[in-house]
Amino acid sequence: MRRWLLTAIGAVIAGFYLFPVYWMYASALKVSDELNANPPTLIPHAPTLAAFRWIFERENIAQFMANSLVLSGSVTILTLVLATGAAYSLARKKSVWMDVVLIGVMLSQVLPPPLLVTPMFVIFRQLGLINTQLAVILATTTKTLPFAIVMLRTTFAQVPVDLEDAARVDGSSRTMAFLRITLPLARIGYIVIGALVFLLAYGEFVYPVSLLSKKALQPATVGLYGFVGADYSDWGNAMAFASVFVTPVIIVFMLLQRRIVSGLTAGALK
Amino acid sequence: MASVTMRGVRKDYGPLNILRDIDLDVADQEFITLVGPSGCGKSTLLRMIAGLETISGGDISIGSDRVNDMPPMHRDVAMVFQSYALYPHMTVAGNISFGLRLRRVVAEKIAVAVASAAAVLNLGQLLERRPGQLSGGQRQRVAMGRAMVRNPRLFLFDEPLSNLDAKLRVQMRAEIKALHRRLGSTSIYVTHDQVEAMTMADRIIVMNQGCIEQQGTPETLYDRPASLFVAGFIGSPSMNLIPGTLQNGRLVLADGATLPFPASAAQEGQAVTLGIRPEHIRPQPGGLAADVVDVEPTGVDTLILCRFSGVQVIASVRDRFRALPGTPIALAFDEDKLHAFDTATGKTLRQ
Repeated sequence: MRRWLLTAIGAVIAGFYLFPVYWMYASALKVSDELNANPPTLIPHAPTLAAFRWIFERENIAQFMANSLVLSGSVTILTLVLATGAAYSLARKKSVWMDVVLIGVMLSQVLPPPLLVTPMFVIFRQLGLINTQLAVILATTTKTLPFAIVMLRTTFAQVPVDLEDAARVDGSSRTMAFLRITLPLARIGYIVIGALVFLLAYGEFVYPVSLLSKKALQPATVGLYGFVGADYSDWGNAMAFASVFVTPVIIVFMLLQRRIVSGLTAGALK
Repeated sequence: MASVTMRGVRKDYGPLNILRDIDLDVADQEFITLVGPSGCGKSTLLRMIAGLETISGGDISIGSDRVNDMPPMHRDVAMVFQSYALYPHMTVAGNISFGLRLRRVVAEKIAVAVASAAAVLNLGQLLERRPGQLSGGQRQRVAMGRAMVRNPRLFLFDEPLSNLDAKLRVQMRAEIKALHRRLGSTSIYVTHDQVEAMTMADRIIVMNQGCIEQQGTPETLYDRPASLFVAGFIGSPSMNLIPGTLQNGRLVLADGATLPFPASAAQEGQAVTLGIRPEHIRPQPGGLAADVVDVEPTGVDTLILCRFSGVQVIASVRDRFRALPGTPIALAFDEDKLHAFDTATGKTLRQ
């Protein structure tokens, strides 16, 4: 009985959160008359793929998606490479200064992108990087890097130092011990953190919209924004665009969700 | 194989001094144990020999090489860790062969070496398993295999048996000894368990508070402890230590009772401590009057806890003995097995 009740409560809450997602998919399939019907229809009466056809043919969503993937992929790789060194030393070296650094890293997550975007714009303009994807990659990495450092640090801290010591006595250098022992043991952490960083970068809007004005370079987040104007909004096509944008994310998250959840709570190892 | 020499070795962590003035020679093919209470610096010393800790002062040499600044990978030593430190992502065979693969030994030679180590350690069936699928005793064997397969010039053991149950510990103890006899490799073995130290070593180094307290064969340490610390640390149950004052060649206790005291360098009236092992005290009619506090049969021996003049001692007897607490008992000491210590310095007063 209790179990049923808890399940019911869980279902209601999940439904509450997921309804907008459903509404997005449903709306993407509706014809425009039905979209504005009153009362609204829960299930599309005459599902059509017209909106999807439109966004692929007229809005060039493939270009936006490709830009998104390039940006997020580059941010993920850059973040993981840079975070590795920082996180490893934070995990292994015990001193007051390391704590200070760690607090600094955590604090840097506090500042929101809208606050930082203006100084970034000025810096990148002086470097001549405005309207390049490099600018967006660097800017987004400043946001994902502290998160990745903090997460990777716990991953490394869970690899016993004894294992590296054993490898060093066995005949490896410090670097070799890291590459052959610590890194393979942290791989699940890398998968989880990499996925989360990718999602953060994938959904980033403030930096690309401010730093990229050429449509050919913009990611899908900015492309989606273009559907909602002050005097017109093209809901059916916007919903189709949004569906294409989030579906890969939902699939990746579902594939990885067990590992992500366990990685966030307990050890990312074993 | 190689000898190890330490001269004036010290270790500091900032202002904290962990080890000081360690002078130690380990002969080629010798098996020595470093024993002492936790925090005495024995594991730190072992890690310094391995190269996992820096050396704050003095010199450590392995064979003819001064190794102070040599990274562990070039020292050609093997170490067995308390936690075993097996690589969880490799199979047993992978763990054992890791050191050989790092040295780019050819595959056929590796296969032969792994197979022979597995045969010695009875690991043949487990080579494809991962450490997570093994029991504690099996993991211990893999750790041993990983150390011996490289044929290093020096073996270091850091409390390798402390995570095993009592029965397995006795068994592994014998196996490590047998292995040492066969390989003849110089070995340094750290333990806090004095039984392990006594049973395995050619020579024991007793450490206390960052210094070497005494070194010698197990028998020497047991029969002729150089200090109160060693007297209390080596032997189980430990030596009875009875403080008092020396007057007319006898030990005078607080309440005026007297006990025999051995011939020693002590001065008349000096504060001294009498030491006597439990097996050298026995019940004997007409002896020293005491009360039984408790009787603890161990199976082999029976321990009798007795109290007299505010002093509690343990006697260990071979025969069965039964008595209720509070029963009067008369005790006799073996007068040629007494130890004399200076209470103030803790050093022996043996002449």
